[in-house]
Amino acid sequence: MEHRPLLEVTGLSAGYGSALALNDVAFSVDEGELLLIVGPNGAGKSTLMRVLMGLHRQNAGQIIFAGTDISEMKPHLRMRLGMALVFEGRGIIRELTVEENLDLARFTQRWNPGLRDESFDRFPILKRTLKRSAGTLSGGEQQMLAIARALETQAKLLLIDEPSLGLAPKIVSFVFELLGELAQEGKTILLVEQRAAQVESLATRAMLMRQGRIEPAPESLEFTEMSFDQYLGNE
Amino acid sequence: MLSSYMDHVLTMAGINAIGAWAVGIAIRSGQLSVGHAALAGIAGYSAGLITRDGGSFWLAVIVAVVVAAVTGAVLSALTQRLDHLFFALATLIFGEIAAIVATDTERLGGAAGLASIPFETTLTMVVVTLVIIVLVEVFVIRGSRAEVQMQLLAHNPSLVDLSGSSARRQKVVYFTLSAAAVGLAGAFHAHEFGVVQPRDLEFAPSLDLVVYAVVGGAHSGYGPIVGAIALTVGTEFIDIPGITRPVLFGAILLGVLLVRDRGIFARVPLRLGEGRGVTRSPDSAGSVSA
Amino acid sequence: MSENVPSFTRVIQAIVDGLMAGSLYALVAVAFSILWASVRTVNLGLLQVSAMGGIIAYSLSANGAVVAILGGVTAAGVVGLLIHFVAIKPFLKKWALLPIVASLGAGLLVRGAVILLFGEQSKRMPQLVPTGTWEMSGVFIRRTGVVVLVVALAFVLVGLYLTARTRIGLAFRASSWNADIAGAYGVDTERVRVGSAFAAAVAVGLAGVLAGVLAGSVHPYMGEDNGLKGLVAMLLGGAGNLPGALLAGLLVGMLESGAGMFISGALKNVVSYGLLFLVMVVKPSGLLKER
Repeated sequence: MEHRPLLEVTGLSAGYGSALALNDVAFSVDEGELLLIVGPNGAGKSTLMRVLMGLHRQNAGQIIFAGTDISEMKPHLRMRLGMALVFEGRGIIRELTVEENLDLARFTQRWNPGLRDESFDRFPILKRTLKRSAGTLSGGEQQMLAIARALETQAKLLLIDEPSLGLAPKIVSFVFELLGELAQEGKTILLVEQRAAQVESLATRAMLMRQGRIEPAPESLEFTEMSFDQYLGNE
Repeated sequence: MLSSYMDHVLTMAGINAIGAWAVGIAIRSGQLSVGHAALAGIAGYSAGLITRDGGSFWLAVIVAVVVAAVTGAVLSALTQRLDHLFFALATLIFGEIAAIVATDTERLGGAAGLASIPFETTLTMVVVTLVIIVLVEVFVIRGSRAEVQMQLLAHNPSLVDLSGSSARRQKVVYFTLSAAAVGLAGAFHAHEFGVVQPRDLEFAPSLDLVVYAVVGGAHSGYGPIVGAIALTVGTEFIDIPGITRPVLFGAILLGVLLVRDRGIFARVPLRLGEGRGVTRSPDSAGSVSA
Repeated sequence: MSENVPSFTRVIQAIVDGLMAGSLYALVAVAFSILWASVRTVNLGLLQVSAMGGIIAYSLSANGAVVAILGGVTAAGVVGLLIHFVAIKPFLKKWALLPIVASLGAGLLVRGAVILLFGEQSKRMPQLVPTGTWEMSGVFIRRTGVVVLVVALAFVLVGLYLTARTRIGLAFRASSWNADIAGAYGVDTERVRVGSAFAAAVAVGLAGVLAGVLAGSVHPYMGEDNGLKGLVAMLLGGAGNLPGALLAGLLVGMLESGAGMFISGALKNVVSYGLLFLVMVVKPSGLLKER
C-alpha cells in the first residue's frame, strides 16, 4: 500500500518584490514525524511557514496536504483541513482576552469542550488568566497560549515557527520539553528554529535552510558529532 | 475670432485646468484635498475686494496668490499628523467652514457673494499660464528630484524621514505651491465671472477639481490639465441640471480608475502594497535545488 | 428660546435635541467604524447611499411605515454593497487614496441616479411615526425624535452586542486587529469584509431614513451633513472603536445643539465644524483609544 506523506512540498518559490525568499524548496513530512528545519536569520524560514499556511502567495510550486493540493487555498480553509500555525512571535491577538484567543480555535468543525479542559490541564496558567487581556501575559505564557490554541484545532499538522524567540532559557526548555511530549503522543510537527542545540534530539529528521534553499542535513552531522549550531557557525 | 461664448467656455476650461493641476500637485505629494475650491474662493474674494474699489488687477492677483498660499501652508501644517483619509476630511471641513463664514459675512456680500468685480481675465492670460505650467512640468519637474520626492511622499513617507529630511515639511511645501496655483485660478475665476459666491467654496466645486485631476491622471503633470479641459468642455454641451454632472463624472471617474487605475495619462506606475498578491519575481531560471 | 426660560431648562433642551440629532451621527459613525475596522478605508459613496435610503423610504411611504423603512434600508444595503465591490475591493491593496476617490465617484453615480429618478426637489416625508410633542417643565420633546433616538440607539446597541459577544463578532474583531492571525485560525476574512460592508451600508441607510423622518423631508443632498459629522465622530471616537463611535456621535450632537442654543443659532454649523476641525488638528487619533 502506498504511503503518502502528510505534507509534500515541491518547487516552492516565493519572494517579496524581486528578492526570492524561498528558492525552489522541496521536502515532505510524514505523519508522526517531527521535522526540524534549522537556519540562520533571514534564511526564509518564516516565509516558508507563511506560504505553507497560505498567508503569502508563492510564485511557483505545489503544496499537497493529506493528499489534497492546497496551493491555492485560502488560510482559513487550510486551517479547517487540519493545519495550524504557531506564529513567530507567538501570534497572539493582544487586544483580545486569553479566552477569546483560544476561542479562535473553535472555527474548525472539530472543536469540543474537552479540548479546552485539555488546554487547562497542560497549561493551568491559562485557566487563571482566562478573562485577562492576552497582551498582559508574559512571553512564555503567550507562547503557551499560542500552542494551546493550535492544539485545540485538533490539527493534523502543527507548524511551529521559532518558539524560542525572545523567551527566557527556562521557558525555552519547558517549551521544547512540551514539543517532545507532543511528538511522543504522535503529533506531526514541522518545527523551524534558529538555534538548534536544544531541539536536535527531539527531531525525527532535520534539514537546513539557507538563503531560501533547503538542504538535507549532511549525514555526518547526524546528531552525534557537530551540533547544527556549530555547523552553521552559530557558535 | 472666437465668439464670446466659446471664449468664455475655453477660459473656464483653462481656469479649471489650472485648478486641477494644482490639486494634482497636492495629490502627487500624497495629500488628497477636497477643499481646494475654498482656497481658490478665498483668493477670489481677496482679489475682488481690491479690484472692486479700483485697485490694480495684477496687484490683486499677487495678493490673491499670497493669501491662498499662506492659508494653504497653515492648513497643511496643522493637519500633518492626519493620515490620508482624515486629511481629506479636514480639508473638506475647512472648505465647509470657509463657505459658511463667507455666507455670514456682510462685508463679503453674504449669501449673494461679492459682486461688481471687473472683468479682467482674458483667454490669453489663462493660456499663457497653462503654457508656463506645462513648461515647468516638462523641463523642471519631469525626471527631477522633485518628482521622486513627491512619489516618495505619497507612497513611502517613512523612507523620506529615514533619509534625514522631514516628510512633513516637504509636504507643506508642496501643498503651499498647490495652494498658490489654485489661488491664481481663483483670482482669474473671480474676474471672469465678475462675482465670487460662497457656494463656489463648497465641497462640490472642490470635488470637481479632484475629478478632473484623477480622470486625467493625477500622477502626471499634464493629466489634470487635459482632464479639466475635456470635462469642462464636455459638460458644456451635454448638460441636464443635477443629473449630468454627477452621473457623468461618477461614471467616468469610476470607469477610468477601474480600467487604468492611474488615470488616462499617467506615466508612473503605482507601487503595489504587499498583501497576498505578490508581484511575480524575475525568473529564477528554473534552478534545481541540491 | 426666549431669554426668560431658565438656563437649566435650556441645557436640558439642548441635551435632548442633541441626543436626537446625535443618535444619527452615532449611527453613521458606527457604520464607518465597522467598515474601517475590517478594510481600513472609508466608502464615501455611503453618504449618497444614506440619502438614497431616505428617498426610497419616502417613495414607499404609501405602503406604511414598516415597508417604507425596511425598503429604504434594504435598498441602501444592496447598493452600498455594490459600491464596495466596484469601488473599494478592487483597490484595497493599492494606493490608500484610491478606494476613497473611487467611492466618491460611485457616490456621485448614485446621486445622479437618484436625481434622475426622483428629481432634485425636496419632498415632504409623510408621517410614518407618531408625531406631536410632549412638554415636561418647559422642555419640549418631539415624539418623532424619541422614536428616531430609540431606533438608532437600539440598532447600534444590538450591533455592539453582536460584535462583543457572538462568534461572528469575535471573527470580526479578530480580523480587525490582525487579519493574518484570524485567517490562520479559521476566520474567512473575505466574508468578514463583505459582511461589514453590508452592515455599514444598512446602518447608513437607516440613518438616512430616520433623518428623513426627523426632518419631515428628504432631498438628494441630505446625506452629506449627517455623513460628514458621522465621519468626524468616528475619528473622534477612535477609528474602528465602535463604542467610541457611539459616544462620540452623541457628544457631537450635544455639542452642536449646545452651540446652537447658547452661542448662536446661525453659527451653529460653524461652531460644530470648527470644534471638530480643532479636535482633528489637536488630537488626530481621536479622543478615545483608536483601533
